[in-house]
Amino acid sequence: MMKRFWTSALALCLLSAMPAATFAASRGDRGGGGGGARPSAPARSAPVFRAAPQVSQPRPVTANAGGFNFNRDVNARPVAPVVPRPATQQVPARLPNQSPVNYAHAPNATTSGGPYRGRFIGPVVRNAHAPSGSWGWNHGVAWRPAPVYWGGGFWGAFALAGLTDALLFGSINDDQAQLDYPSYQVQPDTPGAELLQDYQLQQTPCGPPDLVVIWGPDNSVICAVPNDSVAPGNYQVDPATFTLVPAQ
Amino acid sequence: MFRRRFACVLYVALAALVLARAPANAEGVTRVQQSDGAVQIYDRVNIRLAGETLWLRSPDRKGVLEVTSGACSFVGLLQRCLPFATTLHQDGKTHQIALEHGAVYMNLTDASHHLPHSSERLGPHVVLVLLHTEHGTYVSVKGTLDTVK
Repeated sequence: MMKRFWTSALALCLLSAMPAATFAASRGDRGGGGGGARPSAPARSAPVFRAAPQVSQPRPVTANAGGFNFNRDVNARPVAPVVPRPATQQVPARLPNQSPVNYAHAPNATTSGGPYRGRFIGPVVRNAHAPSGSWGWNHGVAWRPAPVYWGGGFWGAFALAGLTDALLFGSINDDQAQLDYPSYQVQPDTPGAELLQDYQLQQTPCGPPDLVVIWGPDNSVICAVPNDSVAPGNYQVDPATFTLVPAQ
Repeated sequence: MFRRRFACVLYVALAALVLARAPANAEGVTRVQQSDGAVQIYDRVNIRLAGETLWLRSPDRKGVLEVTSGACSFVGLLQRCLPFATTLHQDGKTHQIALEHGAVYMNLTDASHHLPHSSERLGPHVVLVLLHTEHGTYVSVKGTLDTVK
């Protein structure tokens, strides 16, 4: 009798140890019909989709022949591509009868340093808080810029398509090239915020003189108040070592 | 009699053990909300991670959504990336889906962790994807990674 009890108990214990996910496939079959999409039930809430506009009663769409339904995106007329170019041309005051000037193109998005590109050869300002080794600050994972975001996403998730002048946090003007490099407020929990924290720098709007001007990925730029560790001047971020390299 | 019953229970127990250790495949849920408010939800989406690119396969295996990300950094122990390109592979064709912005959170650890500024937790090997296309389509994906390369 006891043996029977123990064997049954063992089986029950093992069965209860199975994760619920193991049954996910069989649960998902309830829709039938080959496992395609199902229109959402009106009562179902969207737990991870807070930003979506509220719709009183979602309308079911015509089922696709198969796969995902992105008909509105696939069949839509193409929108103008987002130009990942942070710098904008200044419009100079022009005298009457003066012909417009053809200015140089803005710098390529994949470059960095704006007008100081190629001049960041000064002695590295040591980051005492960043772990040593390449990409040590990012758990050893190489950081690569994401093209449709200002600064490649280093300073935050600033989608280029959504940037407006209202978000500006000053700018750096390159009078020689007639270019304007906009700056935005660094978002928390980003590599940029971590970098500022490591150097104990306080961000401030770009524009006034004698600031710490930090050029990030894709010609992005932010400014900070100088401190004992970082003197006024232009610096470039070295993402691999998470350090600042001054311009000379 | 007892020996026979014991063997039967043992088989059941071993089968349960094997099932418990096997990865549960394709339990991702993808929600697509079109700009006109129409919503479709796809259960049992297979989620594969290769480098910084996610591959989401529809339950009927007829469509694959490729989400390419960059700017991957860590928020605590969660990895956060910014998606910048989305491609739909379907009906033998490849369609670029213009992306405005989005976020990808990945928990590649064996423990649950809180999402930043949220009470929601991401379980072990769970991925959360949020996308907003230029044509106003919202996409959310949540599920356990089926394959990591």
